[in-house]
Formats: sequence, C-alpha cells, structure tokens
Amino acid sequence: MSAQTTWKIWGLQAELTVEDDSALPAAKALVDSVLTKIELASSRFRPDSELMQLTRSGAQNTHVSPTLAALIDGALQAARNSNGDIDPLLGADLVELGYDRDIELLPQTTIKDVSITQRVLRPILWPKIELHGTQLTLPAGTFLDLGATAKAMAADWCAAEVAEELDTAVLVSLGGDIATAGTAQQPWQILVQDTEDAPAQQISLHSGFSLATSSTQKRRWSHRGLQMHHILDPRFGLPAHPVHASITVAAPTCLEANTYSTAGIVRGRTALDWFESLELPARLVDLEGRVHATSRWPREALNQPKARAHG
Amino acid sequence: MNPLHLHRRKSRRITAAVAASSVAVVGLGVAATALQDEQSAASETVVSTTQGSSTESSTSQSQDTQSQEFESDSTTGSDSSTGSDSTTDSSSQSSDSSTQSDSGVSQGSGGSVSGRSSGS
Repeated sequence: MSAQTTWKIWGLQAELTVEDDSALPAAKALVDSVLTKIELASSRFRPDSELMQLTRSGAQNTHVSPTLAALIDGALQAARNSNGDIDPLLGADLVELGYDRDIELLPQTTIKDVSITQRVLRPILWPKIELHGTQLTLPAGTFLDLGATAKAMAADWCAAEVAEELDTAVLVSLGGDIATAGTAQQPWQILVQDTEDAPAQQISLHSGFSLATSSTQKRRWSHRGLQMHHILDPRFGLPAHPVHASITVAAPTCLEANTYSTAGIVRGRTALDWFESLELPARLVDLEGRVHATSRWPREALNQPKARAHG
Repeated sequence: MNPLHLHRRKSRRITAAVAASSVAVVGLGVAATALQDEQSAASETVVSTTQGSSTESSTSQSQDTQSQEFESDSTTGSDSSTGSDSTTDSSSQSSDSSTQSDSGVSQGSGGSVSGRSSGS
C-alpha cells in the first residue's frame, strides 16, 4: 500500500509518495537530507549558501562542493540542450527585477502608473563558464541562478536516493516537477493542471519517467508597476513574452523535462514544433486556456472526469 | 512619435505583451536581436501606460552593432492565435496508450491521483 506526505519548501508544495508505506518515514528523512544539501549549495536567498559566497567572491578556478558542481553541470546541460533558452547566469537580472528574496515575500501590488525604461540587451556569457570536476571559473561579475534546474535535479536526486536506499517505487514532486524511480506496480496517476481554472488532464506516468510543468501564471510579482513572472528570456533578462500559460513535458529525467518546458515558455509560438521535432511528449496551454499537444502526448480519455486539483 | 505604435522592422524580432486588469494594464515588450558579446549596443524601450480601464504597450529596438541572430526561427512571423475555439486542439494526437509507454506517459486510468504537475 502506498503512502504520501506533503509539506512546503522553497515556497513550493512538495509531495513524496512511496509504494511501500512502511518506507515513508525513512524516505522523508532521505529527501530532507538531499534538499538541505541542495539548499546550502545553491540557494539565492541564503547568505550562507555556497552560491552566495561565490557571488561575493567570484570564481576563478575555485573549488566548489561536489553538490554545487553537479548542479552547475546540470544547468550547463540545460543551457546547451535549449540552445541558450535556459541561462544559469540570470541571477543579477532576477535581482534587478526585484526577485531577491523568497517569492512569498515579494510585492504583488499593481501600480497604476506610467513607466518607461530603457534596458541594454544582456550579453550571453554562460558559454564562458568553465567547470572541470569541482573547479569552477565564472565570467567576472556574473551571478548564478540555478533555480530553473536545481529544483528539477532535486526531484531526480530525491527519487533516486529513496528508490536505491529503500528499495521502493517512489514519486517526488517539488512544486509540480515530478520525478519517479523504482518500478511501481502500476503507472503513477498524475493530474496535469496549472492553476485551478486551467484545463486538467489525468495521465499515467510510467516508472522511471518524469514530468515538469512551467508556468507564466505562477511566481509572479510586481516590480515598478510591471507584472513579472519568473521565467526570463535570457536575451533580454526580462520575463519571457507569455504565449503560453503553461507547458508540460515528459522525459526520462526531471531535469530534461524542466529544461524543455521552461525553454518552451521562452520560445513561445515555436515551442510546439520544436517539441515535435524532438519527439517529446508535451502539452501546451495557451493564454486562452486552449490545449495543444504533440503527437506523443496521450489523448484525453473519453470517459475521464474533469479532474480538479487538490493542493 | 507615438511609442505605442512603433513599426516592426523585418530584421528585428519584436514581441510585445499586453496584460490587462480592470484598473491597469501593464505592458512589457521585448525587442529582439540578441547580442552575444559585451560590446552590444542595442537597447530596448519598455513602455507601459494606463488609459482609463485599459493600457497598451509597445517596445522599440534601437540600433545595434556587432549583433547576430541568436535564434534562427522567428517568433514574429504570425500574429494569428493558435488553434480553434474548441477547448482542446490536439489534432496531431493520434496515439493511444498502448503505443505511448516508450514516451513515459499514457492515458490516465482514472485511479486515484498520486501527484499533480503544475507550474511553480
């Protein structure tokens, strides 16, 4: 019999489900340990994190922890796989846009005002990041932000750790980024739905696969009268033009799924064709709530009730 | 020049977003030719204004030097909305659950839900 626990972390809803219910307490302890390690390595909101220390000191052939090195390596994979639509050097841009603390602490007020600003297009410097093992060199003056990928990698790592250590099928969800590991007796049933009023679909997620949803409707805040969302277009360091409300992608790892769902938000109208060319299962919801999907995304079951979300 | 009605130039990728609320609409636009080195000389203008219950927004791209297209495919080729008025536009979907296990996902079985995938 399976068992589940939910909690809040990093301003997100986290869920842990194990097929062997007796493994739940130990699984939760393992997950907590992995998440703490990732937070201490890569949080932008903790002055004592390794990433913030690097931000203050810079990195010129600097030794970093294996955890941070792995997270940066994952971020660079995402950058390469997305042709730069994921950029791990958006930290300064996010701070400039006001996202310098936990999302729940950011202002949400709409300012009824006129705002005219000019902004220089940002240089693309992530290809100049050098990572050799745990030796890191960052372009001078740059500021890492691993938020786009670290959460997905955290889900991957937590699921793998639990399955390996406790020999149980497991599902880990961090803010909707879902990773599975072990062999479940039945495919996991997942509700794909962004906001409460967004179209919902229940799908089966097979063991060993992952699912990620990126949204322009969540993690929003107000900055100088402009509504911001957290997925930036790296070319400009500004929130990507919102063509889609959300994009969901399935892939063998949550890192891959998140890479493509996030990059799809940045790509906008070309995302569907891009996913199709990569033979990815993907579901895109436009701003009017219409659902578009690639050929590898499952059809909605005819007898499926219109599922509504919980939590 | 009315900054809200700037013309597109073919060599530029220009996108603009207009978000609406009952009291204010905030526009955020980005203009597009990506520059890949520190010598970038391009800039963008972000304009937003409130006009009663609606606000428009536009963005202009200034001149740039030593620039190159960051991405070959353009997002400005069409302004038409996607799909039809139907709730679901998934005409390209043709597979059933038996053929999709290699993609990691298939039709839901209707059983109890173990997780929800939503944006965060």
